[in-house]
Amino acid sequence: MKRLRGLKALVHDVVDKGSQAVERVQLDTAKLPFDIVERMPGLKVPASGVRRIYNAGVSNVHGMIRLVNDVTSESLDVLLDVVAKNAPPAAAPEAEPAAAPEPAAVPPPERPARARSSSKKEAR
Amino acid sequence: MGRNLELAIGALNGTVGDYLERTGNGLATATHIVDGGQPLDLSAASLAARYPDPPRRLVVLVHGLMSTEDVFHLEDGTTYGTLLERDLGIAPFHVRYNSGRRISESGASIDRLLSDLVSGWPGPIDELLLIGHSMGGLVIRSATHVGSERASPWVPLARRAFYVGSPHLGAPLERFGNALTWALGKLGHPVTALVADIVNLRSAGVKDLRYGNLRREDWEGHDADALLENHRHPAPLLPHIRHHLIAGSLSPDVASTILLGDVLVPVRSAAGRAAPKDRSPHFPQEHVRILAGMNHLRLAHDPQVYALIRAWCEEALP
Repeated sequence: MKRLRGLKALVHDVVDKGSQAVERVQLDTAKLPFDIVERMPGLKVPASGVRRIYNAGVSNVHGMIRLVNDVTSESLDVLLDVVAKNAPPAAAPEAEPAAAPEPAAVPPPERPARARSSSKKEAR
Repeated sequence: MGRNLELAIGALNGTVGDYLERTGNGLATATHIVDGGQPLDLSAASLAARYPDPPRRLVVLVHGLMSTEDVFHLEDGTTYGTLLERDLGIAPFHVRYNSGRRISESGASIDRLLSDLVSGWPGPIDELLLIGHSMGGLVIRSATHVGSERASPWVPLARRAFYVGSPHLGAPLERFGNALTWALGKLGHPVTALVADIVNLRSAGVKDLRYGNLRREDWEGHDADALLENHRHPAPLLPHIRHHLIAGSLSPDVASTILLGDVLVPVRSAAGRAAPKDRSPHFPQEHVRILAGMNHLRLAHDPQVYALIRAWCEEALP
C-alpha cells in the first residue's frame, strides 16, 4: 500500500512538474515572435492583444491539467484509504526493516513495505 | 513479477531516489540487509535465532547504482556471498539501499547498519569482508571513512575490501552528461533548457559518480550542476584493510580497451590509479586485477571474479 501511494504521488509529481515545464516552454517560445510582431508599425495593439489571449489560453489549459491531476490524486488517496481500511490484516503494512535511522541533515525516508522475494532461488 | 518489481524500484531509486527520499515517497528504499527477500532483523535475539551456530567470518555485499542485490546472482542462483558461505563458511549479508541518495549518506547508513550487525552478532567475529560492485565500492569506502571517524565497532573487523568495477576516480559518462546539460542550458533556448532540466533531474547519487564523491564535504555547498568541478576531499585508505580492486575491460585484449574499460568505468578509475588532480588516494597496485572481455554488469556475477575473490579470501593476513 505504501508503494502504491508512492507510485500515485510520483505520477502526480511528474504530471504537475511536467505541465509547469511545458507551460514555461510554450510561453517562452512564443515570446520572441510576439516581440517582433509588436514592433511592426500598426501591429502593436492587435499583437499584444493576441499575446494576452495566447498566454491566458496556455496558462488556463495547463492550470486545468494540474487541477484535474490534483483532484485525481486526492480521489485516489480516498480510494486507497478505503482499500487499506477494508484490507484483511495480512495485507496491512508490514513491519519496518531494522535499518538504522537516516542522516539528520535530510528528511528521513519512509520505510518500504517488506520486499517480496527477489532472489532467483526463491523465484524457483 | 515480484523480482521484476524490485528491480524496477531499484532502478527508479537510482534514477530519482534522492527526490523520492526528500518527498517522503513510499517508493524510496531504506537501507537494510535482505535475507530471503525480507529485511533482516538485526536485534541480538533475532540474529541468535537465525544463526544458532554463528560463523566467525562475515561478508557484506553492496550493489551498485540502479540495481539491487539481484545483480550478484550468477546463472545458477548463487552469489559471491553464498559461494563464500559454501566454500569458506563465511556468512553472507546482501545490502539493499537507495542508490540515488548521496554516496556519503548511503555510506553513513551502512556504517550504522554494520554497527548494528556486529553489535547484535551472537558470536565472536574474526573478520568482516566487504564486497562492493560499482557504486557499491564507493559506498563501502564512504562507510569505512565515516565508521573510522565515529570509531564504529565494525571498522577494526574489516580486514579486506573488494571493489568490483568501482569508479574510484569517477565515471566519464556522468562527466559527459554534466557537460552536455551545462551546454544545453547555456544555449538559451527554452526547449534545450527544458531538456537540460530534465536530464539534471538524475539523482544526486548519479552526480556523485562524476568524480567519485565519498564525503559530505565533497558536495555540500556546491552546485551539483556546475561544469566539471571536482571538490573531493581526501578519504585516506585505512591501513589495516587490504584493498582489492577488480577492473573489467571489454575487449579480450586489455591494452586496446584500457581507456574504455568495462564500458562504464575506465580501467584507470576501477584500478584506483590516481593522479594528484583526481584528489583521491592512489591504490596499492599489487591487489589489482584487470579482467579481459568483461563488461560492467558481468563483473557482479562472474565465476572468474568469484575465483579471484575466493583466492584472496584464502590468503593469510599479516
